[in-house]
Amino acid sequence: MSNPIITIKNLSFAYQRENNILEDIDLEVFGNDFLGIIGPNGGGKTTLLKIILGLLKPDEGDVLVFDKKPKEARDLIGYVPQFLEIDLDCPVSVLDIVLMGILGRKKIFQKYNDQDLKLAEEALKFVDIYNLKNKQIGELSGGQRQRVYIARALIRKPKLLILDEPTASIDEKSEKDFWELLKEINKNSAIIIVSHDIGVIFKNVNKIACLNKQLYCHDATEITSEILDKTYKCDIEILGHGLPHRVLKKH
Amino acid sequence: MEILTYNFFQNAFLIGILASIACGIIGPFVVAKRISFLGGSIAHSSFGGIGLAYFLGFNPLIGAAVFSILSALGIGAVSKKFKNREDATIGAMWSLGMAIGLVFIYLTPGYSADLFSYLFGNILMTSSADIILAVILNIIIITSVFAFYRWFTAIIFDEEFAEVTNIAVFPIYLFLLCLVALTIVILIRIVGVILVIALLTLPAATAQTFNKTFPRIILWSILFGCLFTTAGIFLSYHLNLPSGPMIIFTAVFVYAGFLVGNLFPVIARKPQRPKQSRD
Repeated sequence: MSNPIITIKNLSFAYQRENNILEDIDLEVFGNDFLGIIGPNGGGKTTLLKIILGLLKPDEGDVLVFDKKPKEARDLIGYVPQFLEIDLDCPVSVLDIVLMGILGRKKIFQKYNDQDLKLAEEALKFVDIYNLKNKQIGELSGGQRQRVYIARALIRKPKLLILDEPTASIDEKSEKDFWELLKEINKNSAIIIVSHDIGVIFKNVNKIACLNKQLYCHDATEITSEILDKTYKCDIEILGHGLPHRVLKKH
Repeated sequence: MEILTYNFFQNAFLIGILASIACGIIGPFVVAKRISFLGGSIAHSSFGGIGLAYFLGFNPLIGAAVFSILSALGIGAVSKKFKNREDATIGAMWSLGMAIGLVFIYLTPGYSADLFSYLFGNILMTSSADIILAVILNIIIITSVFAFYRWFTAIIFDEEFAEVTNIAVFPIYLFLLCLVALTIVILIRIVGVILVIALLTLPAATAQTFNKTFPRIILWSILFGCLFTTAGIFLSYHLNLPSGPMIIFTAVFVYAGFLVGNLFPVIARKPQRPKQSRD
């Protein structure tokens, strides 16, 4: 088996002292993985992503991404953030936004060239919204905006795509297309997706990590209700929502 | 039209146009990034520099430039270091600059007649030196935005994404704040430190009611700035009232007109935003 692209060992992290949000995390992600991270709110999902992206530094433990420090590996990563935080009034077009994906590789005064525009066109066509390239971001629907952010990540030709709660504000039909799109992307890149939409995630990923301060990693086929109970600490309300039990038993 | 034959009116119109270019270019970034009150704080803290210049006897706008840049860097650094403290820092700088300015003016012997014009602006007192300073600042602003335009839009749209794609978000943000500071220095001549915030933001906010991309908003902001300052000077002349407030009245009136106009789709067609989730 090839080397893992992400290796995390004994990772701990706390925003405030002695109140760990992540504890003793071990995780390996491989180049063709499609990993779903689930867990309750406040369980540390986004925090873990931020550590992998080098936005936060772990208090203890080692994190290697593509055998480098997280910050140095950023060029190989495409990131699709939670999109609640984005200002829809911002006067930028879809094309502008997608090109922002490769802006970090440009020098000042250096313009986007034909090749950059071609990459943007490719990315937009891949997610099937090329016809919207001149629209302002606020004019799009939730599902369309989702695709813009994915195109912005894909223009970087990433070897790892990270998505944080991507299905939060899209409708059911867009969601189905969305998973098809991710499977297509997974042919060339590893994917890590964070979600609390447990029901859908099982059907699509090949590895599941349950995160609630501590992390339990499984093949998608071997997940049991005990594992979930341990993650969610018997929080029936979260579990009962959107997770039919028969799906679990059958697997 | 005999108004145009006076030298000081010519200077007034000229600085009005120069200021409109500066705030037309920088204002849209301020409005989109929602840092209008950070701009207000930079403007007020520049009063400290004006006071110092009075005390030591050099051009007050130079003092204003130094203080506004220092406060821009100060606010930027504090809000980075202590997240969630930005609001209080903005308030602190706002008052600190005013307090420093007042102390220096108290210590300066004699009567400072035109001090009032730095607080509330007097476009008719524009000197040739002011115009030269405004030209220099405009050249700096235009060149900088030409070089950094895409970086500014990237950090305004999504700072975190910019960070993870290896863009130097913090230095670029500080640089943007410095350009805001320089723009404010030009505007002080026109409307004074207290009224600056309106002229910095209203041309851009008006332009944004019917434009959807930065280049068009910048173009229209410059035009609106020219309209507001020119109309304000004419009103001031004909009504025999101070120019600063007349410019602000014009700006607020036009902005309000466009806001109300936006409520009626026939007058200004605003793109209808689709529903957030289901369609």
